[in-house]
Amino acid sequence: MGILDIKDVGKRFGGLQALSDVTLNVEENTCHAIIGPNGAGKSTLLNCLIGKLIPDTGSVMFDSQSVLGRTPYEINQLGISRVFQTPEIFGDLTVFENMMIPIFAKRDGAFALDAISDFMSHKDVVEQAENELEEMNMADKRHMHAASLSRGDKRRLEIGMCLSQQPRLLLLDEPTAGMARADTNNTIDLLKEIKEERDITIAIIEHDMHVVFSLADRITVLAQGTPLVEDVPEKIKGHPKVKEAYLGESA
Amino acid sequence: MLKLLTINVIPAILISTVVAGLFAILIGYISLRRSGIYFSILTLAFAQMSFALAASVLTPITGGETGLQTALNDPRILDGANASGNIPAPNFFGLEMGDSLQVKVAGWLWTFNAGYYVAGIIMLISFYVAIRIFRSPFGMMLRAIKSNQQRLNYTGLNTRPYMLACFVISGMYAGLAGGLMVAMDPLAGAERMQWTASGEVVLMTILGGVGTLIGPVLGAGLIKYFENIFSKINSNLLHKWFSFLPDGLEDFVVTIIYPFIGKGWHLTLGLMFMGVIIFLPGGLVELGQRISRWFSKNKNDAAEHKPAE
Repeated sequence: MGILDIKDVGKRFGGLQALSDVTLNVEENTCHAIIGPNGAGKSTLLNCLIGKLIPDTGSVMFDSQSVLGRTPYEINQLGISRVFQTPEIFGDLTVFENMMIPIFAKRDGAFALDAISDFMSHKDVVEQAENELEEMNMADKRHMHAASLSRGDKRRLEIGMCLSQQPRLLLLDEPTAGMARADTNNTIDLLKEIKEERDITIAIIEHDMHVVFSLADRITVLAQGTPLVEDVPEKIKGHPKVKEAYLGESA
Repeated sequence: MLKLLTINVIPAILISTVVAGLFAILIGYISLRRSGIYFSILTLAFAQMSFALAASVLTPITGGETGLQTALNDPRILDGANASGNIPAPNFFGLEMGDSLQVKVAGWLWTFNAGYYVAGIIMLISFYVAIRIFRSPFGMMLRAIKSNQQRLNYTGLNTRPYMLACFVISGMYAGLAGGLMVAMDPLAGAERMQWTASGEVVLMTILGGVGTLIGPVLGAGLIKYFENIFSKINSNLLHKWFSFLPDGLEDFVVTIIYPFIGKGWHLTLGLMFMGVIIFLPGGLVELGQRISRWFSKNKNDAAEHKPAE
């Protein structure tokens, strides 16, 4: 059994069966990509993983604990960090403050009423935030307002914020959507680096097959709400069923 | 408290702060189930509801339309028997709030009002407390909530108790203000609970600068200052100012300006408010930033031009 265990998940919206019998295992310390054409149910599946939607049937277990019915912050405290389709960061705060918040959340839990001490006096948090910014090659931008970063840097900061919590599972939702070619390549390189350097499981939900081929250890192709095939990238590439699913979309 | 316990203002101010905090827990717990505009309307509804209650059913406690005031036969358990036969004035360990010390220095008459300085010192203390909160991890989380609540949720923080704590803190600040007001003038009327009272605070904040600490202080100063100035001007004064104009024109100008002064000074405030929102969305704080940027730009220009000379 993998670290993330999705079993027989089904979800229906009115007359539309968005997901049916999705069974999927993500093994620890691998990179697993879930790809599929538009309308395949990728977003619905993701929303079931992060507590936004509760599936009608089936179960989602993370490290043998059910994530269903939990709030986003509880799921994060379990060890799942999420990267959004459009980078979600704290735009009004500086890059350094952005980096400190997840570390505080990891150290102090979901709520801590510390209204007296100066936040810079928490040396352990400051030090860790400095290290993380160094890792992300963003140390020179620490005093900038996060909103004024470039799109690629926002993504970098967001991933850095997620990693600073040492999550067991990093969940990425179309991490390169709407990015320029250069930014896309940078993001892919960054993810490869993370995969090699850290003990972390990565799950990527992606529309664009080419993004994940060089990255993923295993790929699941989702079409019309159910997994079509699951295999290593080399075998997915030429798979007739996959070609059909993607060509069927454009035809 | 001025009625029941003692005429000293310190317990009154403390207790009003605590009681306001307790009420804020209750109201915040209910209101924070909604966010954005619905939240604002809920809090306004609570204010209006307490106003209606105070003016009607709760009249035995609140005094209804007349409001609460100190009276000779109030119990005041801690003060002992009242011998003088006068209604006592609120005081700070014997220093009456209404007392002023008048000193003549260099031909000017300086008036030191005791209540003013008590309020001033408390303001400085509470401003310092606000700065400490702003710079704490808790304050950082509050700024993060304002910036991107969704991200904070997915970062593993439960935003609800943070917002409730923030709501309670602001409620306590409001309670402190109420306590001070009663200390200056021991007459608490129900009209203080009308929504316009909350509205005025929002106006002050927007005029000064939303999301800053010094902004509301500046905004409050500006509004109260203009209130004093504009409401003092009357038609006689206007006639004096414009007496250099020909008779017909003088009357005309005075008629035009008259609605903006005296009791109509809210009209001026409204225009000022519109101006700030349109031209200075960041309020007075933004004005200050622009001026300082303008100065530093001039300095840079000068520095750049020097080598060329």
